[in-house]
Parts: sequence; structure tokens; C-alpha cells
Amino acid sequence: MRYVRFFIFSFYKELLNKIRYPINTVFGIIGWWVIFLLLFLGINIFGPSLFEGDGQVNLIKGYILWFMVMANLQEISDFISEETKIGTISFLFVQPIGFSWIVFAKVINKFIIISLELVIILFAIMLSIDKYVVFNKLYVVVVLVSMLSIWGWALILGGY
Amino acid sequence: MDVLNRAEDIGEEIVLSIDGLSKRYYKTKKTTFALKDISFRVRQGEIVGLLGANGAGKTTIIKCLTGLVKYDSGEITLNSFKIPEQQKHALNDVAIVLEGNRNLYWRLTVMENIRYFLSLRKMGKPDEKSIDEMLKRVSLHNDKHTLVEKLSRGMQQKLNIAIALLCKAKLIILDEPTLGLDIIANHEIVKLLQEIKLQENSILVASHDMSLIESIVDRVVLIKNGGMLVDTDVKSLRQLFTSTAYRMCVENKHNTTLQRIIDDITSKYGSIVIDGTNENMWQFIINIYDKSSRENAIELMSYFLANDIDIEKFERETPDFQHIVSRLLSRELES
Repeated sequence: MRYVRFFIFSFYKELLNKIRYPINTVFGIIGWWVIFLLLFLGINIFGPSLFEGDGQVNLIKGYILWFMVMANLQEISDFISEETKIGTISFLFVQPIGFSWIVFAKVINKFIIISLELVIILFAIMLSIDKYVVFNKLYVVVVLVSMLSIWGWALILGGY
Repeated sequence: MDVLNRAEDIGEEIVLSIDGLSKRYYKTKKTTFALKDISFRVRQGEIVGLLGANGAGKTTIIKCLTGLVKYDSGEITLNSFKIPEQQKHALNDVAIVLEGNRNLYWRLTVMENIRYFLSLRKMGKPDEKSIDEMLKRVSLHNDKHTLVEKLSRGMQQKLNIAIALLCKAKLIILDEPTLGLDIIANHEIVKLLQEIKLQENSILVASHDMSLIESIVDRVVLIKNGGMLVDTDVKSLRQLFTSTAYRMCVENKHNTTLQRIIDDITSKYGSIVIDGTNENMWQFIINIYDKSSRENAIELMSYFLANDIDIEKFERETPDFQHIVSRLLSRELES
């Protein structure tokens, strides 16, 4: 039961950080949206032939995968280094629930928060270029599986 | 290992047992002993103080017994579980307050920190009423929705201790609980710990704050350069010094001649130590522990009287805890 309770509270803590510092959260989302628009604009100017057929849809799908990789890599490695910097990592290590479960809960919760941000970014992208993407199940599975290796890399980069 | 008076096991429930703990740090071409053959126990309801200078090894002991650092040899049993093999089980009944500001999230409020850290414990859903009572007890009930970053260092430390108490653990480990606090905050923490003392928790407190140790602990383990110097109760430690030390104060009216006299005395009587001087007074610590030292003291008094130096005071030393520890650490009384 405490595992579930910690998981929920850990999610609540992640959410609080996003709500309590709205400027960071909003500018983070706007940043990813702007990067996509710049990519889109660049391709429109220098290689419009790339947009023939399913080009624009593929760009969105590729961008989503890239966003998920980068955001997970950054957020998860940052969490370890941030906890190390402020010193709370030692305190988490001596908690009876076990450090591995704490890390696992944090990773999953960060993934959920990033996915929520992705939904906003995706809608902003689709509305801006007036192109709508329908995801099939296989694509979602590919993204999820690739996340497993990214979490591993993020933990290594963070110093776990 | 110099052990003046090793406390005997008396068959009470032992919460923490450390036997022959040693830890080395390997550097290029050099091995440093952080801990050498440390052994002591903490019983149920007992408050043990780990005392020593900065770098003596107090925090390393705490790191070893919480599994933060791997030790080289020895055995640690915490709540009947071996460390580090059964660390998770052992820590179920232990609440820890680590040194410095590393026990709280500054971007969360007081209540959020409490809920977060209690959710890491093997206990039911935290009872709001007991949280409120605890916050009142540590005078934080008006700040329960305040961000931790806006609290003073003393308030943050009170919150750390409140969380440790809410865990209802058998053993509370406190590492330097008064470090970096001002006088008022220090006093508040000492008062709070004195209140905790009345409960049934066992406490292991590591500190170089001797007033804190003196006011709350039942037993003191003195660490020096990674080795154990003393494991005894505070009362015995006091008695050990009370029995031998006398303070003599003499009038300082013959500045020029007295310096010569002092030189004579210190070279002649080894058991006599000059403890201080000011414009009006010279002070000596005289240890009377056998017939010969007693004769030395009588001879010294005769010496003063013969040289027309007034003895203002001659009394048994009431040992100040800080003084005792300083003398132990300086190995003045090694024998």
C-alpha cells in the first residue's frame, strides 16, 4: 500500500512543481512548439519537396519521438543530479521504501508529466500547421519501448 | 582503543549494536583510517551521544550504519537486522535526520514535506490530528502552508525533527542537529530534544555541540581520529574527573617573582597544571589521586604561604562537561 501511496504522492509532487512555477512550465512548452515551427519553416524554405505525400505527418511523428527522447533524457538525468546537488539523495537512500522504488516512481511520474506536456505541444503543432495526425497502436508501442532504453541512459547520465 | 569505562550489557533490548567497525579510505600511496575498531550499543529508550571534534568520524559511523557508506570490517546490527544486507528491513524502524539542509524539499510546503516523507514509511496513512499536534509542539502550526525555503534554518531543523518523530521509529538518528543554528534556534532544538527524551524512543545523536550532548544524553561515546576513546555515561565521566581535580587560585600581586615561582612549580610538580591567569589571579588545576600527589598539593600550599602569596580559593573542581571532553580529546589524561 505504501508503494502506491508514495507513487501517488510522488506524482503530486511533480505536478506541484509544474503548477507552482507556471512560467517555467509554459515557456518549456512554448519552446518545444517554437522549435517545431522553425523546423517546419526551414523545410518549407529549403526543401519543400520533403513535404510531398506524408512528409508533414512524418515530420510530426519524428518530432514527437525526438521530443520524448530529449525530454525524458533531460528530466530524468536532471532529477538525479538535482537531488545530488541539494543533498536529498542521501536522505532518499536511507528511506525504508528503498531507493530503487523511489527512482522507479519518479521515472514513471516524470514520463506521465512529459506525456501530458506532449499532448499540449502536439495539439499546438497540429493547429499551427493545420495537419492532423492519427497514431496507430504500433507507433505508440515503438515510442514506449524506445523510452525504456532512454530511461536507462538518463539514469546513467544522471549518475545513478 | 582507550576505554575508560565501558558500559556493560545489561540485557535490555538492544536497538543498535556496532562491533569492531572499521573503515579505510584509499588514496594514492596512502590509506587513511576513518574508523578504527568502533564498538558500542544503543538500548531501547537510551539516548547516546557520539561526540568528537570535526572529522573525528561521527558522520562516517552514521553513514555506515544507515548503509550510505560500505565499511571494511566489523558488524552492524540495527533493529536485529544486519547492515547492509538487510538495510531495507532495518530502516523500517529508524528515523534519520542527516547533517545540514538535505532532509527537506525547499519548493514544497511544510505539510507537503511531511506527507511526502511519511509516504516513504511503512505506516498507515498519516493521521492529520497527530500531524497538527506535532506542528503545534514544534511551533510550526502557523507555517504549515509555508514553503520550506521561506523558513529559517532553525525552523527547518524543527521540521526535520518533527518528521522523524511522526515516523514513530524505535531509533532516531540525529547528525549534528544544531549545526549552523543561532543561539535562539539552538536553545529551541535542545529544548525540543529534551522533551523527546521523555518518550520511549532511543536516540543516537552525533554532535560536537557539547552543551547539547550534556543536556540530553544518557551515555556518551567519544570519538577521536576514528578511534573510540570513551564509552560511558555522563555521570561516570563527571565522577572520574571530580574525584581528582582541585582548583587553586592565588593572588597575583608579585608579578615578577610569581612567574619564577610558577616555573619552579610546574617543573617540580607534574600533577599540577596552570589553568589560566588574569591581572589579579593565577589558577592551577591540581590532581590529587594518590599519596604523593596529595603531598605535592600540601607542599605547594606551604610554598605559597612561605613566599607571602595569598591563596584565595582551594576547592574541588566541579567539572564542566566541555572541559572534560576537551581534556580527554587532548589526551591530557590518557593514563
